[in-house]
Amino acid sequence: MSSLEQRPLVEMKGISKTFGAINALQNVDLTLYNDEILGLVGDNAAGKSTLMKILTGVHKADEGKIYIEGKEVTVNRPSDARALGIEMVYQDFALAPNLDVIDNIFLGREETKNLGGLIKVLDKSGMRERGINAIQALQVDMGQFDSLVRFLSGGQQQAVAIARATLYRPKVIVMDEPSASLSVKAIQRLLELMKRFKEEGISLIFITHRLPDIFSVSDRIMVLRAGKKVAEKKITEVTLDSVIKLILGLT
Amino acid sequence: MPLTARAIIRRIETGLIAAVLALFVLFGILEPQFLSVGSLNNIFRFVSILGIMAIGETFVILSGGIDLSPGSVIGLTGMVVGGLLSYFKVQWLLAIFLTLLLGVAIGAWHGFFTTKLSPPMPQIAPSFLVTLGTLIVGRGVAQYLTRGYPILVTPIDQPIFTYLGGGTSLGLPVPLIFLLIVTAIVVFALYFTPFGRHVFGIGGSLEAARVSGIDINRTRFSVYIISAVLFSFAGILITAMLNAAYPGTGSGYELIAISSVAIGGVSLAGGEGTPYGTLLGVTLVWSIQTGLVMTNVSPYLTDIITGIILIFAVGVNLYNKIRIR
Repeated sequence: MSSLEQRPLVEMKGISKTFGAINALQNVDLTLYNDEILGLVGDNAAGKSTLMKILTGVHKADEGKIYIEGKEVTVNRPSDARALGIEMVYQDFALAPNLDVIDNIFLGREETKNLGGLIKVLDKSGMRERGINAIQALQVDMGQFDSLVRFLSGGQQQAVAIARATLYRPKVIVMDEPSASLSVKAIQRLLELMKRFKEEGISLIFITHRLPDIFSVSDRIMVLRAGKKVAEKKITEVTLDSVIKLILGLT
Repeated sequence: MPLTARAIIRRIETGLIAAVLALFVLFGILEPQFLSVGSLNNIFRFVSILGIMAIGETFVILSGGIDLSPGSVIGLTGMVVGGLLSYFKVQWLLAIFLTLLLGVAIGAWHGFFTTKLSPPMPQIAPSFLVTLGTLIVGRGVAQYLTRGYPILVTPIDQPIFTYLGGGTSLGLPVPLIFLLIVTAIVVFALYFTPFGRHVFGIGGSLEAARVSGIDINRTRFSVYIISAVLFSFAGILITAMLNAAYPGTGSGYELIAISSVAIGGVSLAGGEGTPYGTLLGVTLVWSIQTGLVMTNVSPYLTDIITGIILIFAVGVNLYNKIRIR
């Protein structure tokens, strides 16, 4: 596989994070290459979400550095991560239930146009068009785009969250337990979508408890246990059994 | 079947309009004077000023906070502008400007407390506390300024200033014209700017706002300044209308503000509601008060009746919301 010769897209080196008395992460490294799907697994409280929240700017690491395409970067807040082309689809979607689909897709990055050359006004028609395109690319039936997000199904809400993440052609999308609120059919559609993203040049970090899904789409897999990295291998080098043993620490 | 935002809002406001009309008919029958030109003029003049206050409250509640200070800010700023005009003989425009500046300072204090002195958590508790403080301290200062005496601002001394509160232009009470301007600006800010989206976003889901990169602190800061300035403007207009500033003016108005907002369909949890709903709410609240007074209902009963109607109206609102879900 050519990924061994490439310069990594994302490198996290020596990441440590404590929350009060809890050592959430201890000296963790993560590498992500271009055009790949990295599965990130581990038991509850292994540190997967924390590590990703550090990458996407929600938390700040106590120690460690992050490199994007070889350059060291600081990610202090979510907008820093987005500016670097890193987006995240959260487990509970992190959508505003009281706003409609388009508002949620553009929340925090609203597009404006100049009114009479003086005042900046929301470019509602522009956002609507781009938002609809982003959703339709995901091939999910949304019903009315004016619907408030709270009235949408789990799969539709996730489509909104994914559309928000793909709006500005990110380099990396982190998906935190994306199958959690989905039907079986929706999960299949999601896995197809993830393969499509990879083909279009977006790398994915995929956190999930559903190990068969990891084997279905990932190129490499990384295992965390109690805040430490215990394995990083190509998917072809592991089996379901060996992964479970690594997660639980039985070897 | 997904219900659109518009369908829901339309339902709440049609109900309110019907209620207001029904109320006017009822009071008109019980006391024909209620519907006289003079009476209606007075009602709408004062409702406009209360409306400016209630719109300020709407902003805060939309963003997920609460503001208990409108009554005391109205009292304090009313006294301050009166003092500037009558004691210090300051020119009217400058007096208004300085008083509004006081409003900015009060709002900045509220914003500072809720953003810096507490983390970006749901802000109901910090905003409740800091604005409660203003409610108490503001009223105290208003009383202290003149040891309880009113300040007169007569039309002879201040023709232009008093005209702002008591005058009529284009057939409308001047405060109503101010209300229309304020409403237009607020509607523009809430529905046509990114700032408005951020206010609704913060009120709807703090987590969504945080991961979207919204500057939560800056938005909240602005919201508290806007509300305090609007409260101050209302205080100024009341002094202009009454031709006097009283230390007790505005007592209890925070309840009118919050009730109007709740009746108007603005969710007290944040993120939902419209300024139109609030304005209908304040019209309803004040019409009930005025109508009860004019039909000679005992003052003791007025509060009870008003309270019952308010609880009923808020209950209907909440029930509607639950049913829709």
